[in-house]
Amino acid sequence: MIRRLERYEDPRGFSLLVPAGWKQVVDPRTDIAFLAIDRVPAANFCANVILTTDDLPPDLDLDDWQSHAGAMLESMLAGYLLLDQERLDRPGGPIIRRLVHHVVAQSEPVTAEQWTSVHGRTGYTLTCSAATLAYDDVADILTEVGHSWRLAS
Amino acid sequence: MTVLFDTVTGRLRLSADHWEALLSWSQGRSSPDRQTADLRTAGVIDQGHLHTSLVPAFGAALEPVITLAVEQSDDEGVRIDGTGWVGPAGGAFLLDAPDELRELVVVHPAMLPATLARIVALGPRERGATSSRRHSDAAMGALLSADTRARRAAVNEAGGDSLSDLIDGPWNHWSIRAQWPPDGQHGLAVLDTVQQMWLIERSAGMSLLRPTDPTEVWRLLIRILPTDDELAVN
Repeated sequence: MIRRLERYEDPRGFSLLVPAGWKQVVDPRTDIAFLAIDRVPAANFCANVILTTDDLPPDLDLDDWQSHAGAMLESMLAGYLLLDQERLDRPGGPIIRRLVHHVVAQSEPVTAEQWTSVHGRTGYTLTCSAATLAYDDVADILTEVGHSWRLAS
Repeated sequence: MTVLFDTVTGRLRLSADHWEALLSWSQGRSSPDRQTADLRTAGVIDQGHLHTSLVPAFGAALEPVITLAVEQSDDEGVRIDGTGWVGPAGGAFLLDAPDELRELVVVHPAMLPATLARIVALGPRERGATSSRRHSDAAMGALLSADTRARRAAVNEAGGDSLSDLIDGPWNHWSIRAQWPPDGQHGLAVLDTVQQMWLIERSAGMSLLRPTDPTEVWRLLIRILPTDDELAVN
């Protein structure tokens, strides 16, 4: 059970709210800017929050990038099902939010909410994932995490 | 022969008569010779036993902990119904299929929300309307009529631009009801149009249409199954 959120400030210039007590993992992959994992599994899956970055060509905007990204997710993820997608206009720029279902190892169904945005030539993807049967319990707070991501101006 | 069975994938489509015969046979009751012979020829009954890929489905169908009813109707008057069962070791759906057949879909209980989402074609939708609407059951019947002229008249009568999609479609009106003994139940009814998804809540001869979105519907699909506490109480 997630009891509260606390703000994480990264020296690279972004911040976001993270569930208190989750384990923050330093991942050596250069495209992973932030990773935090629940210490306690629910329905055999540890909920997690991951922020990834992509270097984008100059002519690729958010919509084009996410059109490619959506097709790639569909081809890469087992049991992929796009449940929801919307474009949100925010003061810091547009965001494309999507909700997907897929299946991970040991046939565990997972629901993932993604928030994607472009700043300069960098594409940011914040993904909050939870076991599908536990998703409803944590959906509100994971959405709060998604809304909280900020890039220092 | 109206039994189509893929022994590799376990996909089974069959007529209502063959389904009833298979249920009777699997319960050890007498079953019609012709249908039972068809089931043997198709490999559904293999050397006197149910094909192994179908065992979890029949375990759920014969001794369900939870029973699910799915009803769908669209702007062309096509109606697709389905029945689902969830047991301790597995789950299954029997769905209306083309050519008056039924398809048996084997489902792991953890995959039930995704299976339901695929059955009702849940996916991204516009978010158009912002306010709820209330209509009598009679008005709802006209708004969801299979006849386009009747729908046009009903939409004009209701005075709702946000319902204009109902005239020409496409739209899908669906409901799912989960029941478990002795009297536990959860239910969900949705009107899915191009411009907007609506939750339908019925009471006292009236239907309240409340704007919703696929994310909320997904959460409600997850909640369709009873919690362990709800099962324990009952």
